[in-house]
Amino acid sequence: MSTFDPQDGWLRLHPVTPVLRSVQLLYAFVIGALAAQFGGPTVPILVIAAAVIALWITIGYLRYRYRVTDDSIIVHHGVLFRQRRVIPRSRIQNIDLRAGLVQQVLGVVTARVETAGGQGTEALLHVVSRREGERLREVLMATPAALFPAEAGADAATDDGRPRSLLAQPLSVKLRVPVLDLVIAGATSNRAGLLVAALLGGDYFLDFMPTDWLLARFIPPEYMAPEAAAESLIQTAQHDTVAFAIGAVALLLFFGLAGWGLSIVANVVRYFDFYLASADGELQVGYGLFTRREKGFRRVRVQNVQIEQPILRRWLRLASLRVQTAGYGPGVKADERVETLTPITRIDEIGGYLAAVFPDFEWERVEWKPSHPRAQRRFFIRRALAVMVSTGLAVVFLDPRFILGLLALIPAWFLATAHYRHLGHARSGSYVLTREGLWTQRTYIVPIPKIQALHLKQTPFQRRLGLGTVAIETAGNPYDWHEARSIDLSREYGLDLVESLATQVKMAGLVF
Amino acid sequence: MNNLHPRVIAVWRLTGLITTAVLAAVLAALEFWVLARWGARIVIPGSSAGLVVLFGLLLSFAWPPLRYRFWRWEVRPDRVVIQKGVVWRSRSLIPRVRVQHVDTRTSPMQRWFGLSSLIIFTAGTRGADAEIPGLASEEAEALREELARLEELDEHV
Repeated sequence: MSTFDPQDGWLRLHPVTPVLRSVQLLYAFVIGALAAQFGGPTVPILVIAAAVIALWITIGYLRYRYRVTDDSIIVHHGVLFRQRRVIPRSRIQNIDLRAGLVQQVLGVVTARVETAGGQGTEALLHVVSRREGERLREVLMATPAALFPAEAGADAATDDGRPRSLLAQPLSVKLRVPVLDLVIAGATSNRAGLLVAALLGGDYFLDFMPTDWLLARFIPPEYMAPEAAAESLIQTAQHDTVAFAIGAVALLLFFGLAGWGLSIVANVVRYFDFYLASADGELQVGYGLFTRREKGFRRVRVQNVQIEQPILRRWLRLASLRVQTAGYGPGVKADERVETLTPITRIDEIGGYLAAVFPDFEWERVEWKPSHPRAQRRFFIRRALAVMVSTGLAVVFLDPRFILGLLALIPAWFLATAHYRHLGHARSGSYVLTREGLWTQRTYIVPIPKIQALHLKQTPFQRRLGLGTVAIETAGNPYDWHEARSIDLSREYGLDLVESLATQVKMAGLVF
Repeated sequence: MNNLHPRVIAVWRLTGLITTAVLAAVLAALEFWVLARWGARIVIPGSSAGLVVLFGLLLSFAWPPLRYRFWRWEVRPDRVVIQKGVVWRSRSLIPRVRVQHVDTRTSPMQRWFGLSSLIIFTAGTRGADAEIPGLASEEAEALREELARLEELDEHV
């Protein structure tokens, strides 16, 4: 199954591969069904189709060979069209191992070899034994010093000449996340709200929740018409407000709890047994219950780290960490992703995770600087305007008593102050940090050499107040709508900051 | 800092007029459809298309010179600086060591006026900020050559 010496000969995929692929035999049934539609001889056609597919799968398995050489991995595959792919080791960014439920039971994984200059996955080994997957990862991700021990120095090779990285530096599992923490993560996730909304919407159309039964407890039967629950609710509201209120609250509680429970379960299943391991230049995360994922990435690929803290988690002194990674070289950019550094951690333990990614970064020594005090004014004016406009509209179109809506100006002031206090920026060594957000606080840590471009932006309001927002652009997932921004600095300060950062970037030189 | 080429105002105006025309046509068609189905109770015939034409003409004519006035760019030895925006202002700095590659792009409208856009790509995700839209085509080409020259390219990946 797996020969140990990596230099010798061609290897096949795990023998269980054709069995896993046999799900494609289902196509034979599709063809058979089509034949039945057109009145042909169903059974013979089905048998022939199944035989052809089975043959295809078997030949595909037999033809698939791979081999690891000194400087590359070579893959031969293809049934009709023979394909040969050579992937230079220096281009390999990542070996991703993934195993669904069935695969976990069988002890096999799907290995993906990913490079920087291509579309991401260059080679897909479906499936190999877990041990082989890990061996491949170790061998292919070996750092150059390990590949060329003679150049790296006498002590880089061991006695029997094997590359040092295979022996002396196994990946040490740095940090694990216990299940209880995942439960808390699920319980405090902002996404629970989305789940509730999804449940509500889904139930309206598909009716899988015992909504009617629930409502029948509270709403007198004369209002429970066979139509959808929503109409009954509205009818009740018009006739018996108390029953309506109770019914609505019961409904909300029910869906709320269901959504919340779902969120917890989803979180635990997704991040089950989360660990972070690190070695020389490489990081590795593993997680998942039904689908087990193990991803590795080189530290140099990390473009920035985000610390995300929704308000509930902040109160509980928790946070989640993510990294944006991208592999890119001269003239080419690929494989931008967001990886989870940890789904949940205590605030005091953030330093440990950060040290794994940015070893020279001193989290405790960061001194946060606030934004300009005039920002508070801007935040308040924005909210005040919103309050006044909506109150005005309500007064004009609905009822003059809505003028009481102006009372909302008071909490608006406090919210504006709170928002302001959550702004901040800092510089620490070769890193720049930004922070913003009240409902979800996002802290970005950007290594200055990774900065791609710098912007100073001003909305019309900011111009009047002499403020501006500095945006720090890095490579990373283009679908992540947030970016590292320092909001509402004074314009002169912002210009200074941008200039000085740009100079530091220039001195960092070409960085890939 | 440099201005764009003055002819870009004409490009912007013509583009604006075309957009107005298309939008008005679409709205007119919609109006026609609504009228055919529900009669003249919902919509005053010609109102939406008319409004669009009015504002479209106004904006297409008056806005481009303003936009031109606030557009500035400069290629310095170590960075490219782009400043733009009438109401929402922005100033972008691209260190030259981060430039991945440079494109020139010419739309049919620009070609008619002999202009091109210069687009600077970095590995950053929002590269749309690094576009200089109204350069004489020869100048755009020359800049592209100059920006694409980097000291040396090591392949550390």
